Amino acid sequence: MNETKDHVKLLQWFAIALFLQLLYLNVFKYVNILQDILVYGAYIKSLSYSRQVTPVKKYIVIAIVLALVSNIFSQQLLFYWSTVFIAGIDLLIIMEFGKILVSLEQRYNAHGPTARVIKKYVIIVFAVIVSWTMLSNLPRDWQIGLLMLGAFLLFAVNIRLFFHVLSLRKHVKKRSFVVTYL
Amino acid sequence: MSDLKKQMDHIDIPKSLHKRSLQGIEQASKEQQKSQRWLPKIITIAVTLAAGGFIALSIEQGGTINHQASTFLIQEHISPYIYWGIAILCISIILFVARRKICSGSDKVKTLGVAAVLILLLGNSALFLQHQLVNPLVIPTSIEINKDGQNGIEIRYITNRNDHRYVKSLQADDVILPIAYFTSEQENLINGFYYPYDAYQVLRYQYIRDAYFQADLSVIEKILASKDVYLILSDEVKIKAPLSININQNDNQVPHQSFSASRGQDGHMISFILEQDAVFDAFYVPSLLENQVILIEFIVNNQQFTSKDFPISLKKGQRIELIIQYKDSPFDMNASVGLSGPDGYLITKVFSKVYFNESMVKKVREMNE
Repeated sequence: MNETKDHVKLLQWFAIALFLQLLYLNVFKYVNILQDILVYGAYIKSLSYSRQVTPVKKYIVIAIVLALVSNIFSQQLLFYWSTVFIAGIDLLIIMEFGKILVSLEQRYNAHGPTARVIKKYVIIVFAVIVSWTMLSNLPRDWQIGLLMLGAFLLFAVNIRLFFHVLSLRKHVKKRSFVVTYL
Repeated sequence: MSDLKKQMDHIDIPKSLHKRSLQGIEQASKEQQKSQRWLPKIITIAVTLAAGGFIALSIEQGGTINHQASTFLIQEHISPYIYWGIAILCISIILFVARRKICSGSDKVKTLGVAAVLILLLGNSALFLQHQLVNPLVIPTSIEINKDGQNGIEIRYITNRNDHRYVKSLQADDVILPIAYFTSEQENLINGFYYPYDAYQVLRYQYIRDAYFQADLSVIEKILASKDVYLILSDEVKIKAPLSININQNDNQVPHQSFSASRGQDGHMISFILEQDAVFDAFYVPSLLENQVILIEFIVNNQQFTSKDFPISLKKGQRIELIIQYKDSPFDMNASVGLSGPDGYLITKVFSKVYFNESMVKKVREMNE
């Protein structure tokens, strides 16, 4: 019973992290650091309800260090590297959470599309990351275009995952009520 | 003896003992592996150091370096082979680590994905660094000055796109000529990208920028007398300006009408219609440009001639077209070009500003080296 509650909480905090990622606070200088701290804080809170061993914490530490470094030193090449690295680490974190989601789905017999959603998420974000590795050698207009397109795609896949996590949470919660009233 | 052997063969070995031996073998192989654990650590350190060195090189290349750092750098250009060497070293280490990781049972797709992204980043960074300038470059410029009044001197320079410095003044011996327009505010950001106010042209890795000065004849004469002319950047770094200034002294011109048009990247067509009869015996360019601007051919009455056909006699109302070429392009030109002869000069001012591309930046770089 407690475990189910934990799972609901895990999904809830994961949904909060995804929601925070949807907000584009980057327009204000240094606010993106605050956003990162909130997002990663929500990830850590979410993980505290899971017993699985994951390297997510390690990834989060690296991502925060990178975000700080790229904000302190404004160097062009560093900007490209940190953009790709942070996007890559975010993807690795989502992949780890994907494993947890799939196991939860199996546990609660929710024949949902988690595996498919995560697979699509990984493919699209990977394509964005690969395209962003080439930013440094593109003309200005292409750079802006590619950054905007990438940001739009990341927004789209994040929102898809967000709604999926909400529906999974609902399902798990329902199961918990069934258990209560039986 | 043989009985003993037979009896030994009959003894049943318990299955648990067999398992034990297997466990023993596994344990032994693990312990053997333990002795090699230092390898991944060393590789991680090597990759970190190499990547760190790579970024450090790029920071040295950047324009935001302070004055002290730039004096250490002097004017030395780091060979692109070094960047590619470091990149290839890092890539081989990444491939080696990825292979080991896959062999040791890590997630194959994830490892390959990370390796691919790292390799792409390294390759792109090497390509990016290869195109960066150590210091801004000044485009070779030829300027013609009038004897009276104020003269404008326009000099274009090339900076890396992340170089936030700008030209503050022009220096020739003890003459310091401040830039003619307000430049203190250069922090112009468009869509998060730095875009200087004096940008003339945007290239993939560089900006072509504009510095404009005003001076009267006495100052220009001092500049002419000095050996080297420098542009001084906002952080006091001096960059050499290959200028050739000449004073317009051709007062005795044959009356004419003139038109000029550029012909492609490194040529120009000038046409004159004469308003009196005249004879010309040579192609005229200011002496400083003699080897840089060449007369390819000239056309009179739809007939083509070359400089071997001089002297040529022209009648009033006749049209002559000169086709000239710039030999050592790219350079910016503001000079009088035409024909000369016993009756006077037939000249017109030719303005030519190079439209840059990547390969031309490379040419200017080579010319400066």
